[in-house]
Amino acid sequence: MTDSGMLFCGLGFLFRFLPIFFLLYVLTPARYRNISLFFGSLIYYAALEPHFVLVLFGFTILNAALASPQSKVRAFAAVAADLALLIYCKYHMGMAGAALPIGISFYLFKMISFQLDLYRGTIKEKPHFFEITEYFVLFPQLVQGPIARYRQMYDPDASSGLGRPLSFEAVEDGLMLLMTGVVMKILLADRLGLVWNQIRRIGYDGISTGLAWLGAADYSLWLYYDFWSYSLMAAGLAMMLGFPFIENFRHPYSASSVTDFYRRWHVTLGSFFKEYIYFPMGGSRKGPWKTFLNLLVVWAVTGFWHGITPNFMIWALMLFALIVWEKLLAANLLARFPFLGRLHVWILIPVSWVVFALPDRMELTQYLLRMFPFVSSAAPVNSSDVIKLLEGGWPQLALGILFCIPGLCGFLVKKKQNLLLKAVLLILFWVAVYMAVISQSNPFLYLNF
Amino acid sequence: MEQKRDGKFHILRTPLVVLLPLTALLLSVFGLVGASGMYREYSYDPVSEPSLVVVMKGIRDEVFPDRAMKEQFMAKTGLNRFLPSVEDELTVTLPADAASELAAGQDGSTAGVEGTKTADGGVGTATGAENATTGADASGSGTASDAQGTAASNNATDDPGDPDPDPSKQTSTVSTNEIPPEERVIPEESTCPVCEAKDYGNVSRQYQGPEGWEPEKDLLGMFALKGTYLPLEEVDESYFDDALFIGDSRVDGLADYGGLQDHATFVCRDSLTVYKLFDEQLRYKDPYGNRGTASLSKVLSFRQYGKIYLQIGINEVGLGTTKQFYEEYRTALMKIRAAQPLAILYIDGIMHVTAGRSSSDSVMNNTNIVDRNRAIATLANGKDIFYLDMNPYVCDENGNLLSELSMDHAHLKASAHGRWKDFLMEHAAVR
Repeated sequence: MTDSGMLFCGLGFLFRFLPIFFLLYVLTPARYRNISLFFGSLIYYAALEPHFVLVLFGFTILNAALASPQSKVRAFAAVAADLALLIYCKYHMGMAGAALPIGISFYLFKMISFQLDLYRGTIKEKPHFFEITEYFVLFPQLVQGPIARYRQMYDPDASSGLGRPLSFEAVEDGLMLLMTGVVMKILLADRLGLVWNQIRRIGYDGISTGLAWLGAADYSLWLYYDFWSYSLMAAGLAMMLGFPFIENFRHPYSASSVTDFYRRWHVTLGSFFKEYIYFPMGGSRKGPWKTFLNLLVVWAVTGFWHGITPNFMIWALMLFALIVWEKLLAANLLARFPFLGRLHVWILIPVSWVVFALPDRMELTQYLLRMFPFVSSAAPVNSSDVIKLLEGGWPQLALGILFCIPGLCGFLVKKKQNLLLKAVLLILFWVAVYMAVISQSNPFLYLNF
Repeated sequence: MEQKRDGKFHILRTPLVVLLPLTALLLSVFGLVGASGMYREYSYDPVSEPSLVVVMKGIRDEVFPDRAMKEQFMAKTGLNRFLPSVEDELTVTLPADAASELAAGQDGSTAGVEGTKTADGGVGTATGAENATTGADASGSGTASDAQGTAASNNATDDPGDPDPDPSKQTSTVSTNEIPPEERVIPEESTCPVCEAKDYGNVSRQYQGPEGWEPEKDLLGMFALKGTYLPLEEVDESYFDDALFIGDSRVDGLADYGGLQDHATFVCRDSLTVYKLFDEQLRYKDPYGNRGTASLSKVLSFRQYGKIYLQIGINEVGLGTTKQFYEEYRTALMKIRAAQPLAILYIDGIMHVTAGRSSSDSVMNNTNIVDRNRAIATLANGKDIFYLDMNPYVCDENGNLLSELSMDHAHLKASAHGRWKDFLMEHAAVR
């Protein structure tokens, strides 16, 4: 069972692993920091997932050993091995109802991207062994990504194996992101999750239509802030260690269309599929039918990557249909009436998240029938359930909507050096720790992908 | 203009690098120092948790070095304005037939039987301090006013060994073995058996017992097994017109989906425990359109209830031992009885959880729940305090809550509350 204390917002991580590891990391001479980060990351993963650390270690060594610039055979052997493990875990373990090893979808994709970049010449020379292995197992990105490319993390002009210099300012920036992520996860995302859990508790056949839509909105916000908070923590930790900032979310709910939404949501996954599947197949350069086919392949793979239950494929195909509609069928209409694209985001994306959230067919059917009540529910429905839920849930819903506004976040980023802002962040961080101590926290939603 | 970054330490540019570890260190030291003092009742795992955890728990429980100093400080700085008010603000408007004369009920007189109406027969307002009168022939409170007369006569004639009807007095306890055998067992028709459940062998026993402990029976007092036993029988919905349901999130579900919203009054709160029953502000909902929050004491002062149901215990399965839970539950019943001397009290056995939960959770499982239900069931007397156990209506043959009835393994879905209502309507004591 996963030790949630070792997740980034857990007490074991924040007050045991991180300070001890960081101290050792700082004391390590710069040229050996790759090694200390490699072993530190393995220790972290072993604490989190003791049964599968050997799998991570084994595939790290395998990929590092097979890595060879411009060698088709070795590149494809490595990619085939990585894909085989991924399919085995997703399909075989998924069918058996077993939980996937934490982070496997993310670190295998990093390994695949590394092999393909080395083969294509995007990475010109094979890096030092410990730079490769450090990149694969880097603990800030191990659990839920981001699926950063090697070239995003390492300066190609820097000498291999030297490690990265540390700076107080980078540590400060990293700490701010880490603390922001902790606050966002515990004080906002988890509170949004409680709202969804309350709706779930009623039973989806017993909720009013209003509550069904409110629940869809709540889940949309919960998933966003849960994943975004993790991404901020991951980015902050990496920055503290001397790596550059990797963006994984770019205000998706301010998108102008579904197509735009998925350029802003889980950016590193979307760019992975674009770079290694969509573009090599021709992208949108070979006419509408080829574009249609390429999009179908990408979204089918996206659905499979998220899970083998039918709802993930339905979710992916819904989005495929919407994107085809926007790009190929309604492009002119959207150009004339841009607001339609925003309606797609505000109304259809939450519907798609409901499909994503409910792998049980009956539950999904019940929920959709409450959202679109063509048939009345046989279950008793409390006509005031929306009001009751809003009584306790309105603060987190309001904050969730507020922080979707790019301008607000942009303002805060601009003022990040402001001492008052830092003082507020510090206080909120300790409030978040207090909440984590006195209540059970929710594990991250993307933990099992 | 952004300042030039040189990677070096500048307190004004990189304050968090110092402040975060410094505040963590201060809190940790405070926790370590207090661990043998004011935080000695808290425990933590030093391998995986920092000592500041006990400071956080202390803040939650308001453990401070000097409470008087804290209150003075809060008052002087005005921070006490941000503390939640403990004053009950809720005012309810009740129809004349629902408002009652509490004083008449509390002194055991028969004033309630005669009853008086308000001068204009209109609506009375109960704020706790005011009394309103009951119409003796009012349909909703007919049972209550009849019960007042019946209870008064019962107290006068059927229990000569109990001349003082003050239910808040706790008289001496004696061993169950000292009670004559024929008086030791409540007749079957006047109680429900405790629903058993499968033990999956994963139970943490620290919340049971203590070992060798058994709840003692009172020979005298409100729990005594003496008097006229009432059978549990079938009733219709009007039976609940003067009913009050008290409890946790499960009662919250019953309030919204049980089909008794037009009849009964509900006070409940998520995560409510018997330890905080009289301390918390509870969500109040009655069939007259009154909504709000109030303390239980306040709600008990609104009117004379004919029957009071208490469903509580799931949130404290992992708190204290069964003995502690039992004693707190008994105290709560005595307080309720003191405020509502004429009401029938129903001890609702804690509803079980699903097999999935019971078999995987060492604390919140049906073995621990049944242990607690066995203890509180002994508080019933079959005459005006009854033990009800609705679990057979919602559980399988192993005593596990049916998984199709619950989305979260612990609460009934909206559509499943009808079973609970059916149970209540088939197990009611009628005076």
